[in-house]
Amino acid sequence: MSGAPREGRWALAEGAALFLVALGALAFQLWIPGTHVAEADYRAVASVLEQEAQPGDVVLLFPWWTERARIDMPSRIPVVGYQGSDGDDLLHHPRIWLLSEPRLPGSKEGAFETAFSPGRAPVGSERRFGNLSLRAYTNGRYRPLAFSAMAGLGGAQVYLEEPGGARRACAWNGRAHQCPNGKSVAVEWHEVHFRPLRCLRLDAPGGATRLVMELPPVPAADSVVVEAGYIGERAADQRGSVTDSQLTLEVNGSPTGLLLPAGVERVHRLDHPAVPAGATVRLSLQSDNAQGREVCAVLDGFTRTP
Amino acid sequence: MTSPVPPPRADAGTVLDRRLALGLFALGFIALLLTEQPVGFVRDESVYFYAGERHARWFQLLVTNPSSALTDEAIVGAFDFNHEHPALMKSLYGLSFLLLHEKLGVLRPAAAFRVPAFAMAALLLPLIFALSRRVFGRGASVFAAVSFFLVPRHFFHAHLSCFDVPIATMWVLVVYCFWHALERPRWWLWTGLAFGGALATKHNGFFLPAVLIPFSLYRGWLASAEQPRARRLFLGVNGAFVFAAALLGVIALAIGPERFQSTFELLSPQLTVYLAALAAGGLLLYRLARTHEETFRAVAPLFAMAAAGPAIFYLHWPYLWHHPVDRTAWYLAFHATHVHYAWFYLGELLRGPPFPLTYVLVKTALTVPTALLVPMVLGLVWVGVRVARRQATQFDVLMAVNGLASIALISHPQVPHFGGVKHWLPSMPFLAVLAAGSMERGAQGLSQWLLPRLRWATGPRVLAALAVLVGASGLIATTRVYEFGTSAYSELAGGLPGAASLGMQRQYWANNVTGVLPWLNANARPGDRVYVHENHGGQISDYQRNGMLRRDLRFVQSPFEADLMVYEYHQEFREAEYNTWQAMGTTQPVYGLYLDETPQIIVYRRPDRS
Repeated sequence: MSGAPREGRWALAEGAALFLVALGALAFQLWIPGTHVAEADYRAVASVLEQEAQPGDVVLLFPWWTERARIDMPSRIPVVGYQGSDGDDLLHHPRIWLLSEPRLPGSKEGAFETAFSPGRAPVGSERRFGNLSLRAYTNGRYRPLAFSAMAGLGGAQVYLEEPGGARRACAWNGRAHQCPNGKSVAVEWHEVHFRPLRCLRLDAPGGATRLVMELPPVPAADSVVVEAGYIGERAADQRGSVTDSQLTLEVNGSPTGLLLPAGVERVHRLDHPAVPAGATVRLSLQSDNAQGREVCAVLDGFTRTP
Repeated sequence: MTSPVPPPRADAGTVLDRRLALGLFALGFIALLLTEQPVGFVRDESVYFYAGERHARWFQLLVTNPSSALTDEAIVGAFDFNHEHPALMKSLYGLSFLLLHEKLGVLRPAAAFRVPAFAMAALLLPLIFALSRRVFGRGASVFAAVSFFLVPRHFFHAHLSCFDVPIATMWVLVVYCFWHALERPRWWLWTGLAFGGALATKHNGFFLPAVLIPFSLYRGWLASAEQPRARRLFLGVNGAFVFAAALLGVIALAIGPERFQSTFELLSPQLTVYLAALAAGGLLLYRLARTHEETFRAVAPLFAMAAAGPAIFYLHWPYLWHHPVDRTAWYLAFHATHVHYAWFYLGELLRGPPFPLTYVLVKTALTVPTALLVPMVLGLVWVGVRVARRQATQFDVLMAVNGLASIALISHPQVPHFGGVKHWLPSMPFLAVLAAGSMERGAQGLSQWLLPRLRWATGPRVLAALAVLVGASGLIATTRVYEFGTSAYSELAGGLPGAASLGMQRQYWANNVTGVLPWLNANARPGDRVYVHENHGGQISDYQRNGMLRRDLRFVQSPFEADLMVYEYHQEFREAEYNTWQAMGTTQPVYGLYLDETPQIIVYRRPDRS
């Protein structure tokens, strides 16, 4: 084979590749504005939700980052969308309104289905509002709440406990428990590894001293779930002598630990079996050198059936 | 490399080419000037505005009261602020502001500051054109030049009074002068001056010798092959600098780096060694010039760089005049130990080294419009094939090496990886030149195939049509998002939505806030307290100074103090948004900037103020 025809074929292939890629790229640029959502479509979805949503319902966004929807959604319905929310159990919500934008490029619908679908069943048919799709699902992962540490914060005892057992109480001021070390325990919104959590903000006192939250006697629950992690960017902190934190769930004096390793950004989870009615539930946090890292923790007791 | 230095194309360098080069400069400059207003002030730019203005005031003092201006106290007063970057561009920005805004009043303050940046960016186009014209046709070379501005992120950065595009220009200018110096007299001097300009622009310039020395040595070695005396002089010139570098290394090892720095004075062994090397090298070079012109031309640019580079770097920056060594050492140490900022990449937050080796390649592939990326890649492959077949010229290899040098440098896992594509911008003009080759070959191939079928499908016509088609997607993307350039992603990424799903950095540098300023101006109540997340006071002042933001608003530092919170979406700053939910008692924004549906800037209003 001579060089010239080969060069010619290479040049033709090069030209064809350039032509086809350019055509595809142009088509993409012309197509992408067509995936936008009109304001009216968001308002139409909001109107449907206003009429049909029931207490406990939640809106889940797909793709997770399509948070423009928050502007128009009825404020009484929580809207969930964060990196990882596809697989969120949404334990507190019996019904999910999946608000999706299926035409957006690169949204990985298959991966979403894998994470979202188990335990969920559609209710009614999909409704389209321009580029928005709305469909309700029953949430098979829903668990009725028996008790919540956050809801019970005002009635809880919060104190600093020395290794010898000496306690220094934190005073409730109607919003937070103010501790003698200047820190407080309150219910707040925080980020743990991109996820928004409405949680108990806890500061480990340092050394062997523990921050303890003791709930009033709780109703019976089939399971207790603790989810916790370091708040925000400081979770990545590994400087100096910063140490791990130990979160401990005690049920009637029996402890179960949940280690929060220093420098690890994630929501850690502890699943505890059933607790009897009237049980004493304590949640404590200790870290030799917390170095200002705060912990966001959620403690909920669930029953199996409504 | 069987054909070391290809002769320039016979039709290159004509009057038409010179006019085209001028036209490209004018086109680039005017395009930047006309599209300047929507581009927000990035975090660093407001710092450079301020620094530039201080520099310019110092120049005013130098004219009116030179003895006072030349004291270290006055110099520090003007140049200490932001002394982590050299003074050339900031001084130009400041002087331009004084002239075009204060004196003549023809431009708003920001535009006046930015004019030198426009000029530097626009200069890239004729430089790319001229480099490309050495080997490629006129049409493909025009395409190469224009294509640089058809990358949304390039066009965005070209507007800014920063250093990233200017250093790309200076890098290309040095290479351009270097290449000419191999063929023409006096260009070795221009190479040295251009290198000094590069050092005075940004620290990337310090890496230029690493990519030029091998070419210079190779060329000099080949040229002197049949010339024993020239070979001896060639080795002598290089030997003088190698010996001096070795000697300085030995001194540094013997007395330690700190003492090496503290004793580096006017009458120190360190400076003596450097000056002796220059003197010896200069003498030998003078003899070489009289012995063998071609060998001289190969090595003279390096000598000029060694002589003029440090001198220009020192002279252009008054901050160095009284304490050259300590302040240069601080400057170099600052960049050698630069902090790492969090950076979102493929769903993970990169907070520190080691960074993924493929990061720069992936980021480039996902941000350069795909239709422009493909000819760049094919151009690189073409050089690779020619190297393998021993057909590549030095010019081919020079373009490919410079196209990869900055990419390779930033790819090092220990080098800071924040800043998107701006840190390896000096690679992109060379990739554009290689893309011109791909376009020319591709058009020729298509033309040969089409001509028997379509009589109009001549080479130039097919090239023109292909260029329009290849550039069209980049033009559309640039038109749509250039002012939010740090958010731009290519078709390969799936655009901005695809990049969001991939888990790529949504934006950086805090300029996208311009997308909500009109809403703020229209909807904020008089005296409202506003927290503009990630924007510092300098940016706020600049928006007010340029009439883009109301002056009655009060700016606070946290959502807890604010009536209105303007959140800049960053994955590493999600806590800031959730703090806003906590502070304002709502999870519901009232407005936002959403580009192709991706949240960029989100505005919250305290419900009791609505």
